[in-house]
Amino acid sequence: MSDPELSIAGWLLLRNAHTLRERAFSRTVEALDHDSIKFVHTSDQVFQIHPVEPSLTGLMAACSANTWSRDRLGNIPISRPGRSALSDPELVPMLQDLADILASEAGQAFTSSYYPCIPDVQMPHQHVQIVMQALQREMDREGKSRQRHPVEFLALPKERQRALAERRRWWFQKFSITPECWVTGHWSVWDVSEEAMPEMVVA
Amino acid sequence: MPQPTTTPVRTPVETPAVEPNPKLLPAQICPQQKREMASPDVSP
Repeated sequence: MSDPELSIAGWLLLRNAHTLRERAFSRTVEALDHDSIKFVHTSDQVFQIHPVEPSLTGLMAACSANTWSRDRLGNIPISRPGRSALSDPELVPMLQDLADILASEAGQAFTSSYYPCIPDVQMPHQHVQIVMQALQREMDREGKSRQRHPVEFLALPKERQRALAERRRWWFQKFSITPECWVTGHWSVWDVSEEAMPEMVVA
Repeated sequence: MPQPTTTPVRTPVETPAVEPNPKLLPAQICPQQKREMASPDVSP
């Protein structure tokens, strides 16, 4: 079944995407026409493109060759407002893979027998607490609506809380969102990692 | 005559085969809620 946030063109492209960058690009595509493309976040603009190869990489290269489309794909909002006054801001749908990965990471913090920190990521204890509270927000809301008790992030051992917060930062970085560029509110398709989707996330 | 020995029997107690309502895990929420749980309003 198609993702309701995904265009048919994006859905077809996603099937042929192998890397995180290709997948993120596929999710940005609103429509493909004879020789033009529209993106989800700039749907009022049409970009003329001239692909050389009939492939996803060929399409991405054509978008990169067009100055304007290259720029638009380099400046995509990170989040959008919640759907109601009670909702929190959410990642834009083009970052669904990041959301799926983070949810999988959060679950593994409770279920994995081994859940280490990331050696290259450092953060103060206070930020770990802020991240745990933020994760709990949505789980509490969803637990209330389903009348089920959600997992409690603050009940995790401290080392696991830290590991989860560090992994969250690590994965945001894979999608080009570092703490430094997070304040700009934008991310770039061109800077997303070319790694494959991790196996821990069920497609 | 010695009295026949009897094996003490514990009164059976009903126990559920599985936990009745296991805790809700992040992987069990829908895609839109996962985008919210990512908490983009909090710095990575």
